[in-house]
Amino acid sequence: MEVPVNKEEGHANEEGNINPHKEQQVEESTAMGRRRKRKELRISEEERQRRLRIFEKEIEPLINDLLRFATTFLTQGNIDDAYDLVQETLLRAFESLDTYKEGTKIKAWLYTIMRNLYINEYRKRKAAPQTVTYEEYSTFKSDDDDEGPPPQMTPAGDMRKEVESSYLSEEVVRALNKLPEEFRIIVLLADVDELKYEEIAKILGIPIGTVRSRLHRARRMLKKELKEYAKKLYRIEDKSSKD
Amino acid sequence: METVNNACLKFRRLLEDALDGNLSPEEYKSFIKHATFCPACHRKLRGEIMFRKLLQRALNQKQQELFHDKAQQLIISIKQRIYHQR
Repeated sequence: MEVPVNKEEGHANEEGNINPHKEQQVEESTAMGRRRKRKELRISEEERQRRLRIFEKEIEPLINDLLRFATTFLTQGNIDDAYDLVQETLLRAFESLDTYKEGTKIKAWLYTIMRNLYINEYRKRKAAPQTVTYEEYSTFKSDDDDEGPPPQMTPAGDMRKEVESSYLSEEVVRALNKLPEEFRIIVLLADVDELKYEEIAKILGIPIGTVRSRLHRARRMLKKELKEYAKKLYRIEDKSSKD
Repeated sequence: METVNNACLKFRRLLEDALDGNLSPEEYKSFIKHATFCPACHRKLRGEIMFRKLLQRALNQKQQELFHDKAQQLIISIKQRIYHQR
């Protein structure tokens, strides 16, 4: 399965596995208040239900993450633009779900569709990437399976009361917002979305070495910024582990 | 006073890669083994895990506050459009 990418501005394209003989063009208003022609999907009811099931199970839980990615990295904090972009991304993804295997990692693929959409439709960059195959991403799942067990967090409830307070969230967000954009997005993709370096590199279109070095520097900056905050939390954690 | 030997230095050099899933199973096993014998490195490991969990929780909470309504609107809108394509 391929990430659908528009070659011509303002038109849905036929890349990916969408069969052009099963579609017809319909005009609709779309992302960011513009009008464009979309290939209307003609699929069997059974296939539509399968895709809806995948949408509800695999994609719906990621919509908050998609909105965050869009506002942080693509729309400079504009939530309305991010909404439009995510909506268009979801429609494109739905059109291309024909070869998707349920249970396969899908987040990096969705981020890549969104980034390509942004580049090709909204920023009109000339040097836009063309396609990214889904198979490239699906291989990461088996890599994950080979890894040893992840280290476990010390008692899960230790910091819950502290962390769940809005004040502490504000502290972290404030510190994160102080990072340069290219550092901020990498921290989000690595530490919040828990994507692998290879996935991040593909989504952002940068070498893996750059991902690694930016991530290292970003974490250092963030730790420095959150030093006092972290000390307080370490004390809480130490206290709870002694109890 | 914390004692740091070569094994500790190696452990700390690998810390980020280990938690980012970049080590082979063998490397990871040896990495974790050191932490079980070295209290100082165990603390470092715990601190790093905690830092990431805190970041994740804080941002997920913030994200939930910011995007919950928009996400719900999107789900409804997308489903309507999907059903309209019949």
